[in-house]
Amino acid sequence: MRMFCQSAGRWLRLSLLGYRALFSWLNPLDYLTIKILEPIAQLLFFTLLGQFAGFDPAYFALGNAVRLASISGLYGSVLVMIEERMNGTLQLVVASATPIGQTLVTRMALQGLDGLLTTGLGLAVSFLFLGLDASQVQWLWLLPALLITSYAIAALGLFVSIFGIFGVDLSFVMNFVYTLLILFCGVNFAITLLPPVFQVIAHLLPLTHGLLAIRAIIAGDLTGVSVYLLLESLIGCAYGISGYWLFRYAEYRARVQGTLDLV
Amino acid sequence: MSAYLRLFVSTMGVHAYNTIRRPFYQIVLFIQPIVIATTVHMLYQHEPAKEVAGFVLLGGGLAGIWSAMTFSSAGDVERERMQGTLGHLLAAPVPLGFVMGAKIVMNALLSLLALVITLLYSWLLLGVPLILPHPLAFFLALAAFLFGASSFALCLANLFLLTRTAWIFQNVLESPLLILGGIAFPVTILPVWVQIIGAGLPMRWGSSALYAALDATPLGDDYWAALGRAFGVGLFYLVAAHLLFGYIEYRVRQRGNLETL
Repeated sequence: MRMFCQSAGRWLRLSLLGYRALFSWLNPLDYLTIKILEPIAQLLFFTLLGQFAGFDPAYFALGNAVRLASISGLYGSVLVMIEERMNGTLQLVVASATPIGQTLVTRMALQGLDGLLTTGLGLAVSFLFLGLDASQVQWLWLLPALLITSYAIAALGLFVSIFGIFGVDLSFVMNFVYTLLILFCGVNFAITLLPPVFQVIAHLLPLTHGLLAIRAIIAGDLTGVSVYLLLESLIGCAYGISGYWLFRYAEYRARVQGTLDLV
Repeated sequence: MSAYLRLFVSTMGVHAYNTIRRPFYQIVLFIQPIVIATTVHMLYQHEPAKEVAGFVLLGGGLAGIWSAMTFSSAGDVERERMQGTLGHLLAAPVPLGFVMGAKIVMNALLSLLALVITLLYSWLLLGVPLILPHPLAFFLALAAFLFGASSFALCLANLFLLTRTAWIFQNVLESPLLILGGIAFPVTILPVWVQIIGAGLPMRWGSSALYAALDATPLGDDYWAALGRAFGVGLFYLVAAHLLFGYIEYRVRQRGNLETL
């Protein structure tokens, strides 16, 4: 038990240190600008776009509030890898005794939590100013649903980060995946409006089922919520576990072939 | 004069080469217009194609142009700083505003690619072709939009000189300016006080003129008024940028506090 506590404490310290070192935490003004002003501005833009098109602005507000988790979950997780490479410390992380997958999972842990806070901010703005109805919300279900969705997106971030170790430009991949989340996951319009092929892609992405669950929870209708959350968890686990093992393989390959940063 | 012209053109050439090779610029050119064009298309897909065209084509295209302009104007200052050449540019005999002006004019020309990409994407994949009832008026309004956006970006570049965290401001400014500029929806849906703030932006009038030019009815006073305001407000920002460059250049030389905020 003592050993477990020590390990957990070490893990938490590593998470915090990685987060503070690599995510603009050292400059509070920058941090607050990224974490508060930018998400609210994005939320407003898409909500107004929906309102102008004659749709219920609350639908857009909710979709985009939950989607904001990807700023931390996806961008944050991938930026860790970009920063390691830019700072020239990626080689050190690979050369260290701890497997790189484990290091990145540790750092991803706080990004998921951070995503939850960003979504919380988006929801608060939506409830207070954008007409999202809070009267039917099943609060006990909301927190687990947001947590699962946020961590599923962070797991996708871990999976996407693997491209960085092979030398692919991560900014491009990250933004491409972010686009897929905005377009295919039912953020601004129902996925049933998409062509069938894109609907299949939508069901393989995190956020889709999480968002369906959260929409139902906010509306007070819990039918199907547990299934959606189970699917979201499974998708998140699939990305997370694949990402972890791909990192183990990439680490092995980079050591054996000496191709880290060179591909 | 010819030396200045040569410098202007060569700065534009080098800048074009560097810019187009940056992966992040390619993202801004491709992704932003496609996200907005697709979203708007999905929202309006049950409306008649003619009604949809303006918002899909212009919403996506203008957002791409504006994002490319803001990201570049801030990013150019940031890149000079990261490469350690900002101080050299400031110390060079050619005014800093002249070099930044050349870069921003090139950014404006390159950002037109965003509009072209949106037009091709909308036409080939979404089945929404561009129909121009008043082609001359459309291109005149496009020129006004680009002029206004360039002048505004030049002003922003001044402010970015003073801070080491320009990249944060470029991210934060993007969505509010898309809202205030009436890029993807008219500003008339916003509260009056927000519209008053938006009226101070040249892009707001440029986008109004562009939307008016897509209307099949004969060009009305609203088009000409928006066009005049787009050029007028753009000119105001150009003069302001010129004065600001002079002042900031003098200030940072005198106090030695370039990028210390």
